[in-house]
Amino acid sequence: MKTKIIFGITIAAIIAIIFFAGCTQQNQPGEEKIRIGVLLSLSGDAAFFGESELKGIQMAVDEVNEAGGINGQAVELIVEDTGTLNTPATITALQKLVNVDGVSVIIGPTWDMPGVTEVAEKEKIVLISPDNIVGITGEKKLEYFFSTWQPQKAEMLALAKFAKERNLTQIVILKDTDIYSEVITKRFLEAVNQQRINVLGSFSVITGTKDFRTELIKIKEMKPDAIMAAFVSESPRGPLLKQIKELDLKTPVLANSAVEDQALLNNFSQYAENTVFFASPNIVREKEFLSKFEAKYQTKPVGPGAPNAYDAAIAIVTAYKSEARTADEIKTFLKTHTFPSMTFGQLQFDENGFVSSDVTKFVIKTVKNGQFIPYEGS
Amino acid sequence: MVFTQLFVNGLIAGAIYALVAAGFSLIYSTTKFVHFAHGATVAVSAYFLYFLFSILGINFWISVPLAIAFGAFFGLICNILVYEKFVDKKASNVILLITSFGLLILFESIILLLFGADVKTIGFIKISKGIEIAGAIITPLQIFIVISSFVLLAVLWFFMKKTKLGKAMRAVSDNKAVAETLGINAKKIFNWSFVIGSAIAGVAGIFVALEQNLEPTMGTNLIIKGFTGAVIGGIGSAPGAILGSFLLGFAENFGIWFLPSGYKDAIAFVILLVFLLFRPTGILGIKREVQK
Repeated sequence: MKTKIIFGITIAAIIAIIFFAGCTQQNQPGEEKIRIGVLLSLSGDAAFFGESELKGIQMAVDEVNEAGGINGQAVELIVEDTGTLNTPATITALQKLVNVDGVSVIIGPTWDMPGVTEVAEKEKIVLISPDNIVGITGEKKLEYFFSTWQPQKAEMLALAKFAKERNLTQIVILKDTDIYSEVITKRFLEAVNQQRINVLGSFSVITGTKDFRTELIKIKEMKPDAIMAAFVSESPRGPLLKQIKELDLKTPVLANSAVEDQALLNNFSQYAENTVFFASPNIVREKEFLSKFEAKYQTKPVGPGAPNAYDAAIAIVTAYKSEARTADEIKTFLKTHTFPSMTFGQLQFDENGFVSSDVTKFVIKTVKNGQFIPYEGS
Repeated sequence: MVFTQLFVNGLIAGAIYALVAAGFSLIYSTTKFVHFAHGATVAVSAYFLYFLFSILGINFWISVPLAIAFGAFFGLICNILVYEKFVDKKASNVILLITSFGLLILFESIILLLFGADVKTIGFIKISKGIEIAGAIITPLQIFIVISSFVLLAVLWFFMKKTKLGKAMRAVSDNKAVAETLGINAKKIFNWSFVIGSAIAGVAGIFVALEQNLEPTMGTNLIIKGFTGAVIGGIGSAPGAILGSFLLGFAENFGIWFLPSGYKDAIAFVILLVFLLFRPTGILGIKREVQK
């Protein structure tokens, strides 16, 4: 009995210490910082995106803090891991950032999770994602949602134009069931219709599938000029390219720009050589970003979201520098201003919170000698 | 051509599922609890091979037996440090089941922490165009996987039927109390079933690493398929688990020829559900009932 009482008191004391330490940390006078919430996938399949994005955000914030902060106030990131496409965990983390940490703006989430943006709208919190392309439906106007990812319509149109130029007019689509892939496919279909390219068929696999042999046999029978592979993550692309080679399909693979990922080169570059083609945003300040990133982290960014994450952080900091503090003030500022951007040179959001199409130029890239390089024709 | 290619695809998938299911079933048959962390054993072995071969640069043929041994050791440690403690405290099978899930998640997270989330490859075998056999294309690695799986499973069958330890395992599996009365140390047999089952999982991990590459969650996907194969064939019966796994591999690959590809996992789960509802003893359960 005595042991139980001592155990109970010890637990209560630990809880009390943690509670008061937390309170003290929040109320330290003279050290008030500007808090920005970060909601990224730091575990699971999307972690390779999320980890690089966090580095991009941290790099931007460190630069700001080293230059004296925002009007003398340091910027503090409060980072929450959402897991991969885990909507309940993301909503819980979002509510924690809003209600406990009291942030007005959150950078994230990684990838598309319908439901999260709806909660952000209800909470009236600015959500600026480095790679979200969907929002709620991709069509509905959102007040507080922004994305620094490149415009999908323009990307898919550039890819369709490339297919037409190369006379790849009979195409089969292979995609997973993730909402991102659904949106990419939708945009691709719009673009190929515009270019009068024929889609012979479409195959959907469950997100995470890595065995495509049966689908590839079906595709081989259809004799397409190209396969459009729309996947949310890097993990199925490598096995797909490998199985294409094993099954002796000599069909080029068109892909969404998320394929431009160092992890693919690290592991599967031999299968992607002269096979994969995608429309990549012409990153205006790519060299500058990569040199800064590599100097800071001694590694290249793994996913393609790092410069977009950096841009998102810079846009928010710019808003704060102009004395915007509440979510409504930040939202209004973001919608009405132009921001310096690593990816686009100058970044402007459209009425839906997405990057304005006219600022983006795309270049068709492929893999050659283990590198992503602009395609110069065969 | 299409039929033979689908058959080959089913055979490759089935061979990998069978290796996972055989080890899982072997452990279940003696311990009588579901060891879902068997999936983690597959992943741990595969990553250990990656660590030895790709990071440390140790010779591949030395790394392979070390990875299998590490898998066996990992399974043994799971039993001694975790399950045995719960069994000693007379924990129910539900607690052991939850524990096994906990271990699976824990070790996947540790792998994620140590190796990162991106897909890894073991670049030992250069992949080229497959060989055409009767209209189907199959790579030399896939041929090796299928043949090795059959050989290994035959060795397992021989071991269980003909060796003293195998017979002791079957005795504990049939009736632990009677086996203990006859002087068989059940704890020791549990340990051996973890060692052998986990070594087989280690082999599966290596094959998956070479054929499908590595990622932290690879164990979860495989244990789901292995478990399904084991239930179809008759959980607790290693030959049944092997048979069930091959059936699952064929059903998945032939099924999506007629159904949309997205139904692949649905096919597996429908079969699992049908067996759980109408034939919970699995296919080889019939034989056992007749024997009884």
